[in-house]
Amino acid sequence: MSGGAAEFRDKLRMKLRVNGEPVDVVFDGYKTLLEVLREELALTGTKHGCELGECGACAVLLDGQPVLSCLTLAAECDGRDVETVEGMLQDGKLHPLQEAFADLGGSQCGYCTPGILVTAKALLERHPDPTRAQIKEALSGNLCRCTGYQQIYESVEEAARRARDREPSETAR
Amino acid sequence: MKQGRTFSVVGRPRRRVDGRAKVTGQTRFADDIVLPRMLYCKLLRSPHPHARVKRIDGSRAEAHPGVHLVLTGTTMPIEFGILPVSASRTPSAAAARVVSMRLIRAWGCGERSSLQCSMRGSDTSSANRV
Repeated sequence: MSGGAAEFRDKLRMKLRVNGEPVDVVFDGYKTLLEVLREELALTGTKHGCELGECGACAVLLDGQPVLSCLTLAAECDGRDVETVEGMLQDGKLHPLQEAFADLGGSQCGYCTPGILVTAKALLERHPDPTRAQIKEALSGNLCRCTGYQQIYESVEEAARRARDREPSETAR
Repeated sequence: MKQGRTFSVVGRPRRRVDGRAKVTGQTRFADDIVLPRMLYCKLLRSPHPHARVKRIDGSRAEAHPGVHLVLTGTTMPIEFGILPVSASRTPSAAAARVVSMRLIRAWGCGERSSLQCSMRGSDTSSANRV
């Protein structure tokens, strides 16, 4: 036991929503959102990449906006809404983005995939019919070392197409 | 390829067997595995691309609470044995294996640039030559 622990080592407690479920979590105050998701909540779909805000592997949606969870202090997320790749599955069905990425080889080793999927989801919610340039811009913070990005862009385009064909009313939100 | 010819398999993407796991975050990477009483390893890498290791003092690290073991090249049981061998093209393959024993050699670069690295390591005034 090390006595005289600094104040920032004290445990904090917060309530937030993760993938639609209310969560009550106790965590070390210095931890990032990424660490709380992976270590406290066992949601390891969100990846630990560079921890410098360069690679985008740790991207999650915070109140619907893509953020880098490795640079987000968990303590800032009290009362907020977090969505990770695990939350994209609806009633056991893949999100159109997940389907397209699996079908078209948009995911190879898969390490960058969760961050790209949630970032693309936020894009499609803003622009249901994005141009290639808009996709490139939205995903410019997500590095992929496998695919060369071509399959990723094609997967996002295909997902947009499928989402429009399938349920035009749902993608509008 | 003849014009107008279409294929039903060639040129068409097929879903990989692990495709679903990859897009749902279910694929387990090494970093996702947590085991009971797991120990964590921290690699200390040289800040210099090419240098001579005179000594490594691990005593403070060893004294730190929670630290189980400090391992350096010289404490390895078999010399040149179980350290990973790099695919270096540098002059002596043996020297390239001595990472953390006596020598640190930049690898992944050609011989010329590694030579320049060595000048940089031994003489800081030539740092801008690389």
